[in-house]
Amino acid sequence: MTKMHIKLATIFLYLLLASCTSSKKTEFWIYTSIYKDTVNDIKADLEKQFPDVTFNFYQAGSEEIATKVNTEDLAGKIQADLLISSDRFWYEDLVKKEKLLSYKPINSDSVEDFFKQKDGYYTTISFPLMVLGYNSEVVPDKEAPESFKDLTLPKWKNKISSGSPLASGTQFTTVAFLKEKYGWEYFKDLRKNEFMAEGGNSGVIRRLQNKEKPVGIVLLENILRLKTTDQRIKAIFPKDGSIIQSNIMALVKKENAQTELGHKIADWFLSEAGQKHMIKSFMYSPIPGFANPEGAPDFKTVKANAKPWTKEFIEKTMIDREKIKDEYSKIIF
Amino acid sequence: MKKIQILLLVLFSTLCIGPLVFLLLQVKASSFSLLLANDLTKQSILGTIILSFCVSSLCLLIGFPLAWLVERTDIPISQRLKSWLMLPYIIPPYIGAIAWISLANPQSGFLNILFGTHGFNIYSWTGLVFIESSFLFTYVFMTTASALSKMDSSLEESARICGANHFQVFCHITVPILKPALVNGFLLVFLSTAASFGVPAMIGGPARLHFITTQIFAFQRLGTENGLLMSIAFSSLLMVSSLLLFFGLKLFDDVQKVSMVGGKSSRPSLVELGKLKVPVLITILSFLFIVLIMPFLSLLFSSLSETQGVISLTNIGFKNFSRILFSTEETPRAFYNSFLLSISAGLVITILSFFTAYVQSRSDNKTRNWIEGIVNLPFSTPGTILAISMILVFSQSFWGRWSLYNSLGLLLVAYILKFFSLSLKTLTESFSQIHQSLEEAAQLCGASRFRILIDIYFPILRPALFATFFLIMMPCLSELTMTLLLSGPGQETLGILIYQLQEYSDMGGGGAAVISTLILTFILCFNLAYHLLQERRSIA
Repeated sequence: MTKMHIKLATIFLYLLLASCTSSKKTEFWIYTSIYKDTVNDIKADLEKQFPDVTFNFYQAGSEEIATKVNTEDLAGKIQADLLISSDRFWYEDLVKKEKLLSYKPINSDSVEDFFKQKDGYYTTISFPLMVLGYNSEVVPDKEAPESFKDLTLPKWKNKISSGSPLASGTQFTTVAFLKEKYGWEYFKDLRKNEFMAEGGNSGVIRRLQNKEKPVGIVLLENILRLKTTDQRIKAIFPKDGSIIQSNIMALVKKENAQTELGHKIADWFLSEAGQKHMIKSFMYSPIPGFANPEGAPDFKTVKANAKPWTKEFIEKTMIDREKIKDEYSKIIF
Repeated sequence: MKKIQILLLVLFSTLCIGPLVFLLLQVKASSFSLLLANDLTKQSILGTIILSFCVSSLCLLIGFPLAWLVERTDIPISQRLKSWLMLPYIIPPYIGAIAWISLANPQSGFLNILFGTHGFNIYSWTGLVFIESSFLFTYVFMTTASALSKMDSSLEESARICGANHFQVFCHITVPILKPALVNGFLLVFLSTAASFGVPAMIGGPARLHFITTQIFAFQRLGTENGLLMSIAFSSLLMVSSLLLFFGLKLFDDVQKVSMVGGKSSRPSLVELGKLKVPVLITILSFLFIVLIMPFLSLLFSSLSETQGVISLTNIGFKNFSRILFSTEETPRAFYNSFLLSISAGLVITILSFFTAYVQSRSDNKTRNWIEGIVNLPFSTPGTILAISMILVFSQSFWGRWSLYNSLGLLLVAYILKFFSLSLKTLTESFSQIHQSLEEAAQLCGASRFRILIDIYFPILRPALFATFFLIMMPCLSELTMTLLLSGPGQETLGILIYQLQEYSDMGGGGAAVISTLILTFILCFNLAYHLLQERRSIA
């Protein structure tokens, strides 16, 4: 028994010590909602570029990242050095609370003013695109919905789903846009159609594939990733406008912030090397001159038909962020 | 003994209450008023009470008769049945939910396709109660079966000699003696249901059913400080209610503790089922087929489907397995982290609760109830809230380089706090069934307390300790709700990997089903190997 106790105590102590021991390299924390396969590619490249730095990634949905950062902030210490996620309104909130560092990365001057914070607190590093998706095995091409508004037609009862704006930043942005355009009545009509809002965008794809909900509001990148493996899943660019999302990058203001390193890494994300990863991950680059993601239409065409971001819309949504989620929950959940 | 108990009380108060009090200090009064003004608050409180009551009652109705059948009747293959019936405890309920969504979603569920109907709808009250009960009945089953196996059968036999029939023995002897175990089982199920998140979110969400834990999650995800404070305020209400319920039940539990294991025990005489033997066996096997085999087959099918949603033999292959096992960087790490954490948590909790349970069983009721109530707090607190409280405490700068934040150590501490009460309950129950005469005899021979523990209690309780280790290890192996917030980079566990593959990272689909199938296969193989080993031992 005594020997056993000693062995167990040793294992436990080893575990604690191993988990508490820090490496000699500089550690840099990135919290991101970018998909895991892209994160793995980015990490490998960053480690080549910055050999003296250990990159730690925390990957989760945008709203989960917001919860983690808010909690850390409540405790008085935000762990993340760099944030990359898609709920732009949350970043506006962070700017207001003075939680971000001001820095304008190299190449950020090529990003349209509208997709970056004027004082350099954040900038867009890629554009995901929210479209409609459907399973062509269940819904013939000719009968597929043509717009977001179409989803309220009775023929789509029990057939539509989206991610939850409580989990996904891109889905929240979509809700904010659709609420702005059609009001809450639109969501009440969706509710009548037994609309399901659950999880992230991959959840929507899963429901499209297994025909549980053969039509969905989903990111274009999720559909394009299936192009070679499941051609039943097709994208529709809604007539009432696809929704351009902003993948935001921001440096966190904190004690002992590694400002110089942070600047270099922020620069890297907007460099050619960083942007290649975004495009490979089927997102558009915010810097003119880069190719469109494989299989995606030209960004100019998409933008011409997309719902425009306005300053008033951003300010209003930032103020109403909590109310929008609350009202949405009351109607849909 | 009193001094040690007070020391334990202080230790557990610091560990279990400290983080939660720290969390509550962040709540403002305005958060409560906002909370109470929200329409969904009342709805979710009512939903949680109804769900917990329905699930606990159903679990009692399923778990108790099953335990009695395998322990007290001559049903064939009783030991195998017992071990199979314990399996759902080991399987994470969210894996069951994933499987049942494939089986019984109203649009494309396998069962609906098979029967050409839309009648099977897992997104409903019935579906939710069914899934929760199909896993949680094991709490009642295990506590009752354990008590039945240790019960001194001479009590029943005396009643029979006095002329009582089987039914009278069951009602007047068995049930009253088992009352503490049944109350414990009911309470465990009630609190587990109230604190569960995965199944209510996955099944209740689409069914538009609201519960406290899902509402706490919704408040958190408002993404504002206000939302976070409302979620903390709501969870504090849940904590207080759990505590009141716990002590309330203790107050009304007027059953005197009965020593059920004497120095000499006899093999219980079994009730003969006669003609009912085969129908009862078929009923139990059918039940196992529904709660275990059907979900397993559904997951296996999804994991082998190269393109999700295509039902064809040409679509069957091992592409998903190959992708997840050999091309996904996180998979080996997730297996390593999960096994390291769950084995460590199992060992630490079992050893700690062995000593604590001894002190508990030999101490006065008042302090004992306090300790039980305190260690029960983290168990009845929703995982997300416990995780937030841990982040708040362990990310403070005063920890310096010893901060456990973003380390496996923090996950281990969280698992220990969360599951300690389960182990303590089981072992205290086991200790209380061992008559003090054994200890007194050893004391008369001059043995110290430590010697008594090692030479008397350890051999008697070895099976219970072994069971406790697995009782803790298995839920830790694939814990999700706390791990989701507490894990740092490179600290993926199996639960996290399943969740990420299901919701975010698996574009091809089927990845979550692959990991779930592997976990289930491991559990089934482990069970089979354990059983074969037992059989060989008994032959030898």
